[in-house]
Parts: sequence; structure tokens; C-alpha cells
Amino acid sequence: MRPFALTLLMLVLALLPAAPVQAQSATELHERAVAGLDAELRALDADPSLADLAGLERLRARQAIADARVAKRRDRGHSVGVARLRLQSARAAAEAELLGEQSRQLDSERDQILVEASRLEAEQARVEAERLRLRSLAREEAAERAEAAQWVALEAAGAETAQARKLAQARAFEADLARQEAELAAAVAADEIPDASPPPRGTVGGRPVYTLAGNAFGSGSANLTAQAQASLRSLAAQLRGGSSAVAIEGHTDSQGADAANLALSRQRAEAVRRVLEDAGLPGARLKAQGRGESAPVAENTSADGRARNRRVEIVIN
Amino acid sequence: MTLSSLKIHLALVLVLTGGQAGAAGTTPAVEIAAAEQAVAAAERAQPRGDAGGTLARARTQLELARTLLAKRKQRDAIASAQAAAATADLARSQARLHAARAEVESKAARNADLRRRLLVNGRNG
Repeated sequence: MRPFALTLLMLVLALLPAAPVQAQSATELHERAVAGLDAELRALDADPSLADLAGLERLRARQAIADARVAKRRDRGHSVGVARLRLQSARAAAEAELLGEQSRQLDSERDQILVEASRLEAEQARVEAERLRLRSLAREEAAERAEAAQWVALEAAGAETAQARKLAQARAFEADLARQEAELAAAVAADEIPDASPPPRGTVGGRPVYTLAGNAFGSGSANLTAQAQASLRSLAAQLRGGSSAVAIEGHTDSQGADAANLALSRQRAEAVRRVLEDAGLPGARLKAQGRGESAPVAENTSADGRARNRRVEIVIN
Repeated sequence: MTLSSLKIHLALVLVLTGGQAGAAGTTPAVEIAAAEQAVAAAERAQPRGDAGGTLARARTQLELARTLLAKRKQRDAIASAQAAAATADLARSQARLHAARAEVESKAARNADLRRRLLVNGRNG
């Protein structure tokens, strides 16, 4: 026998008695390690939060543990190490998938938040629109109330105006009646005055002018006295046969307001015109006008001058 | 054949067959290729922290497998390549876990911010 073979044989023979004991101990350790891995895998499977997650990684871990369980003696350490890595990987992958699910739930939650925010925004917009509508309505109502109040005020003012107008008309009518009554009374009185002479005659610019003095009227009045009416009837009788136009001009002194003097002079001229027309002169020949204090014939500084200025001139053209 | 020569043969057969047993059904090249794919997949997951350390360990195991293959230690090369693949897969799972955890934290913070800005402030506003 060769020395090498002899040495090898001796070595093998020397190891043979101890080998069964060592192998038995190593096998127990290996089986214990595999059992531990198997228990970890079952625990992973039993975890309700991680169930059904990382299926491929679990399968690899399960296969690795199965390989480790049947591994040959010299591969046991390596196979147990690989199985442990596979098991760790399966747990990490399962936890990652679980977190992925949570991530999707968070996305869904975000969508719900956005929907809720949108709903809230729409609700706020609706409330704001309602608030604006109510405010607008209140403004409209206020405007309507103001308009109604304005109408009421205008109607009241219109009623007052109408009332005032009616009152003025009534007063004017009353004044007219009084004037007519006075004229009628004066006329009656004039009829009772016999042989009245026409007003004094003068000449202005070659034309005959009859002047009715201021005392022919009541003070501040356009009512002719009975004497004046009789005088005018006499004048009308003289002029009745002619065809000349007759201009009747009323004049006042300078006392009082211009407008009032002008109005009074018009009224007096008109009163003279009515008497002449009633006495038979055609109305077409008669023209009455008031000239107020614009054409004095004397100074207004004395009573005598003012008396002369208060007059009605009857100009024969 | 004597008893002694029988024992010698038996020992040799055990050694030789034992040396091939770990490589049954696969080859170092196949296992190294699988490990390379696993390492590449883990790198794409961009592992950081302890996952980065795990990936570094997988790379070392892969390099060792190549070295062992070059030395014709096929059995050890296979074992190292398988360990590299498992370690790389673990690195990838850890990277996914870290990324998912960060994503969940970010989204939770975002939702809290949205809820505060849009709902709480919106109702108050």
C-alpha cells in the first residue's frame, strides 16, 4: 500500500468512531434552526395585517426552508442562511405591500378631502349667494318703500296744489262776483245820475284825450264810482257815431310795487273798457292796456302830483 | 479486494460524490447570472441606509462567487452566488419598504395639511 493511501485510510478510520456523535449533534442543531425558520414563516402567515401579501417572496422563503430541511450536511449552514435571508425579504416585502395599501388609502382619503372641500366651497358659495340675494331684496324693498313714500308725498303735494288752485279759483270767482256786483250797483247808481258830462278832454299829439281822474275808482280798487260810470256813458254816447279806435290806458303813481301798480292800471283800464262797451261802443274799437307808473304827468313827490298821475286816459285815434 | 482497499475506495467515492452533491441540478454560471439579475434589480430600487448596506454585501458575495468560479471551486461559487441573490432580494425588499414608509409619511402629512387648509380653515373662513 502506498504511503498516501495508508495515511488517508488511517485518518478515515480515526475519524469513524466520533463521526456519528458529531453528526447527530449537528443534525439536531440544523433541524432546530430549520424549525425556527419554519415557525417564523408560520408567524408571518398568521399575521392578519400581512396575510396574502408578498406571495412570491413567501414562496421563495418556503422553498428555501424546504431546501434547508433536506440539505446535505455540508450545505446546511449555507442553506439555512439563504432561507433566513429569504424569510427576512418576505417579511420586508409584505410590510412594503401593506404600506403600499396604506398609501392608496391615503390617496383615497386625499380625494375625499378634496371632494369635501369642494362641497364646502360650494356650500359657502351658496350661502354667500343667498346672503347677497337677501341683501339685494332688502335694498329693493327699501327702494320700493322710498318710492312709495315719495309718491305719497307727491300725491299729497298734488292734492294741496289742486286744493290751492281750487281755492284761488273760488276766490277769483268771488272777487269777480263782487266786482260785477259793484259795477252793477255803480251802473244802477249811474243811471240815477242825470246829465253827467264826459271826462275832461285834452289833446296829446293832435289827438283828443279824455282823462278819468284817480278818484274815479275806489282806493286801491278797480271799481269805478257811479259818477265815473255816468261820465263814461256820456262819452260813449258821443263816440258812438264815429268809427275811430279808442285806446284806454291805465296809469298809477309811483307808490307801491311796480308789478302791483301795473296790474292795477290794467284792471282799471279794463273796467273802463267794459263800461264803454256796455254803453254801446263796439268792442273791436276798444283796446285797454295798463302802463303802471311808467308815464307820469306830474311829480310823485307830492300828494297832488300823485293824484294827477293816478288816471285812465281814453285816446281817440 | 481487501477490506482496506474497499474502505479506501469508499472514502474516495464519498469525497468525490459529496463534492458534486451541492451542485446537483444547477451550475455556477446559472447561479451567478441569477445573482447578477437580483443585484441589478436591487440597484434599480435605489436602496439607502441599511438597504444600501445589504446591497453592498450582496455585491461582495457576488464578487466572491465569481472569484470562486475562477478558481474552479464550483460548489462554493454556487453557494456564494445563491447567497448573493438572496441578499440582493432582501436589499430590494428593504428599499421598497423604506420607500413605501416615506411615501406613507409624506401622504399622511399632505392629507393633514389639506384637511387643515381646506376643511378646518375653510369652515372657519
